[in-house]
Amino acid sequence: MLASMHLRIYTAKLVRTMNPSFPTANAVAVADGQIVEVGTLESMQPWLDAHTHEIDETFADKVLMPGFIDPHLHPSLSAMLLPMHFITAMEWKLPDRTVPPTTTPEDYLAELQRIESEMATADEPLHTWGYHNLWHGEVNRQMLDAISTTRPIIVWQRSFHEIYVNTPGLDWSGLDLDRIASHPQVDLEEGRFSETGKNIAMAQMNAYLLAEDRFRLGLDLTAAAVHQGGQTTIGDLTGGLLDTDNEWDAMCAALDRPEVPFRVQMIPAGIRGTTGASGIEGGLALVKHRAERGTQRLFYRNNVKLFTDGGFYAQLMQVGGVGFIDGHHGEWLMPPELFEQLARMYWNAGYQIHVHCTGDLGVELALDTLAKLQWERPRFDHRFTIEHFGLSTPEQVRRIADLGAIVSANIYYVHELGEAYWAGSVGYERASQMARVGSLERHGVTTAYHSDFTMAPCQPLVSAWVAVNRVGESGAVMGAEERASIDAAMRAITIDAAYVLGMESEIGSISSGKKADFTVLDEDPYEVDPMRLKDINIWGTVFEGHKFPLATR
Amino acid sequence: MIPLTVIGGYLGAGKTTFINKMLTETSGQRIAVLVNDFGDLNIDVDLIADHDGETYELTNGCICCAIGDDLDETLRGITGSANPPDAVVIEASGVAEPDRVATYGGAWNGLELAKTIVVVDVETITQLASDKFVGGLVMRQIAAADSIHLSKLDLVDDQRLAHVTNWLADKTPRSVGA
Repeated sequence: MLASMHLRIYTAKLVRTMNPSFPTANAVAVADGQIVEVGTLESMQPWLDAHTHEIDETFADKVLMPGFIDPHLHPSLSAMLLPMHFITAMEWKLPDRTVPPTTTPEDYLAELQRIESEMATADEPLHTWGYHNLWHGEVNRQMLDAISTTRPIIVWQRSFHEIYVNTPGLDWSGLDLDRIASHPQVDLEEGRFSETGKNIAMAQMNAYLLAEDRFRLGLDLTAAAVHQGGQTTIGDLTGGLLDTDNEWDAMCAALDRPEVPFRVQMIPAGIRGTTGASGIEGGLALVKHRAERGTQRLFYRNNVKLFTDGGFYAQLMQVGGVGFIDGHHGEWLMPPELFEQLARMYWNAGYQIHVHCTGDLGVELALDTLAKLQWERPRFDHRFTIEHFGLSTPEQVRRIADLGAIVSANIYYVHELGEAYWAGSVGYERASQMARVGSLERHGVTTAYHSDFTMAPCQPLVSAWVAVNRVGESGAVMGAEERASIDAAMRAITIDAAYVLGMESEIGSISSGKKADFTVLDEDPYEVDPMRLKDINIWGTVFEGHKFPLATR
Repeated sequence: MIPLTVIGGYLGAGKTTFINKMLTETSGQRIAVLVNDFGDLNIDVDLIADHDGETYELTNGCICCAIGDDLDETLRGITGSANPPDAVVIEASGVAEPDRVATYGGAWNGLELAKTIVVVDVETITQLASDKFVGGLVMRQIAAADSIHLSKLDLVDDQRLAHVTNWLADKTPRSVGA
């Protein structure tokens, strides 16, 4: 700190510091992007006497919280999707639009028709994201041709496993239709491309989806969405998703600018570079190599991501015991032996390991592996993190606590999938207990909430609202015993999320010496009706001392 | 139609050794083999006519390709080739369900599913079958086989071999050989 500095004092109706030793205040002194002192104008008088200062009363009737943190999302993925038209079963509040829920097949087609008719240029492709047959019924080429026989229409399923296109879409895609007609996961008659068939179609469309201008627009919309949610730090949890130099350059160009009010911790996937001559050691070399690059706003730390089981939205999680209602099986994203080898390598190299686990058997593999590693080479403060945490058992929560692991949960699963998975996946008992954050709180496990955007909206107050209320799509409570307290929920989007990213000494609470990152709210989350948490108006943020109001719409 | 054979079996079962043998001991058939990784494939250097990192061409007319990230592209190359092979063999990954690979590969125009062979390591199989993470998968792999190939016979005694053979007979009606 400089011997002489100029202080800016933000006064507020209330400052929720999230520092339990000094929980509330109504003034924060800031200099050079750093918090100097928290308290009242009276208590900070010695600082005011010693330095020049100005008092900023912009927040006189607002509530300041530490800048919100989403420790797990994917900016490159949202950059591809946000320029698309959203038609979704849930409401989505996006920076440039609010998407109302569309929950029936009739409404889905009507909405698609409306979007088509309002598009300005006649041949511009219409990409729409969010389709899900549980709500929207069947879609096929003929139905899409009925909407337009001239404009390419490409329907992206919510979990990216399928796309549907109309006849102009087939032409526009540039696919060699004769060649791909024989592909078992391509149905040209229906206009349907699934799994690897979808990958072929997507590879062909990448030139469009990843075109410099479009990708930049998508990153700018992503940045706006992150700001809109009140976030000042995010984690890119396979940073970057595509892992190309072009992607890194595009992310730096879009996000490493003074106008962008947040920082991005990049966490690389530890599986890359592990095949071929160098073996798994190639993965460690690549992770080290990635960490050599970094800018002020995009940086790597000492973290790596691994995977156990398949996707939660795709119902490919590994489920123990009696499995799924329909008898299908989940999948392992890598053989358990390879997972253990990789985990051991990164563990012994001193990394914090984040493990994508969606089903209870995936969690079990992560915990069994952690137990072995602890036996072989005990570590304290290792922060082995269970990511997603869809299905689990109460017994596993106790083991998580005993082994010193922590959790970053996609709590939104409860809201969007709780009732859907009751009816069509694992039944009520297990579906109602997904993302069991109440148990984590009772066992004192450090827990963050994430969005995995666009798996969930990147709005931490929405995550907190789901955690505290656990209301499903219909409004019914799913798993009342697993509701979180308001304090646990607010910690999960501030100080505990900072802990998951290994940044708790720099961000996550409002206290002297930390970065001056604030989320500015109209109301106090601790005092509002819990069902209104997600509706609290966000004025904007302060990032490293600078005010970033949200544009009023 | 080109006959397709799928080789399944858990990680470390001995699929690569089996494939090596298949490639080098073929009697005149030109086989195209799609493997997950060249890492453990140890083709006799005298048999290699040419290789470019993704494909090995052998002096006996067989070829061996790494699947990499794109099984589709590899299959398209083979079925669309001006000089197609006599047979195609796909090595399923250790955590794959062989019947899914068989259904998928067999649905390609120009390919016809001939059979699924699952390689079983006689030393470890009974323990693996009760593993809490992959036990179910390993049993589904065995159930998906048209025939079972036993591997690593040199690591066990006759008593163990008899035990595994009886155990397998109890689990599957399929033929079991070494």
